[in-house]
Amino acid sequence: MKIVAVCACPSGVAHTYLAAASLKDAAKKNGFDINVETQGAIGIENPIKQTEVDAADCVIITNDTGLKNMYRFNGKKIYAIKASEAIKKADIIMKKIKDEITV
Amino acid sequence: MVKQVKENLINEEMIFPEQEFATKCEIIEFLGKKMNELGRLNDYDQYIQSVYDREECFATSIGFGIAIPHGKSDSVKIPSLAFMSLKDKIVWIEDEEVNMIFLIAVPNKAAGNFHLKVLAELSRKLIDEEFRTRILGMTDISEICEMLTFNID
Repeated sequence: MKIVAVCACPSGVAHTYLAAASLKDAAKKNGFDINVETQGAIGIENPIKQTEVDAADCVIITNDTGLKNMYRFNGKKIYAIKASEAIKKADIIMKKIKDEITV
Repeated sequence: MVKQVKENLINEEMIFPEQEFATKCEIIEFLGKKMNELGRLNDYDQYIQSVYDREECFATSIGFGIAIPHGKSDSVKIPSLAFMSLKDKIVWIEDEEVNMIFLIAVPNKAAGNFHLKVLAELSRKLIDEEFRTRILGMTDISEICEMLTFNID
């Protein structure tokens, strides 16, 4: 399973990075490949390339605040969740993806 | 060569292990006052208000017994982090109890983004269960300070 994700939050100070770390951790535990872009107060880090989007089975985004460059994900299966859910329930989200998407 | 920079977001005067507090407001105000006494805020009342505004729109408990209340405002002079661990958990929001609190103060405008990189690194660390367990078990202020001081290249 290949996943790309984008995390952000209103102040871009902490939840963005907590969410990114949590998704990475949960993906690893479930044996998934994941690439997480952060759009925080520092700016965009680890930007996801279109080729990575094309190769991904799905996209996870946080929806607490507007995200930049969403056009990249046109036509992809998107899981939009709150940053707090990404932090607290990352494993549940990965299990859901495992159930819903056959690779 | 990796450039090692010692961060001063936090120091031993902003670390309070094994405390006994009953409410989140008491904790936020206690830690905010410490920051103010250390000359890190321009306006205490305005800073506390920015923290409460943030809590109201989005509670900052993140699971794992941790809350990270934060205010980003002109009332902050020096980017700061204060830490408290509690002997007994308290209710942060309805169904969430916490025993570790990280109060963050970030100015609207600051020179460079070094402090933001440090806070991003702290956030990543908090997802690490081993890191959380270690810091909760610590009572020595200088050891905690060491744990919360990150070298960012």
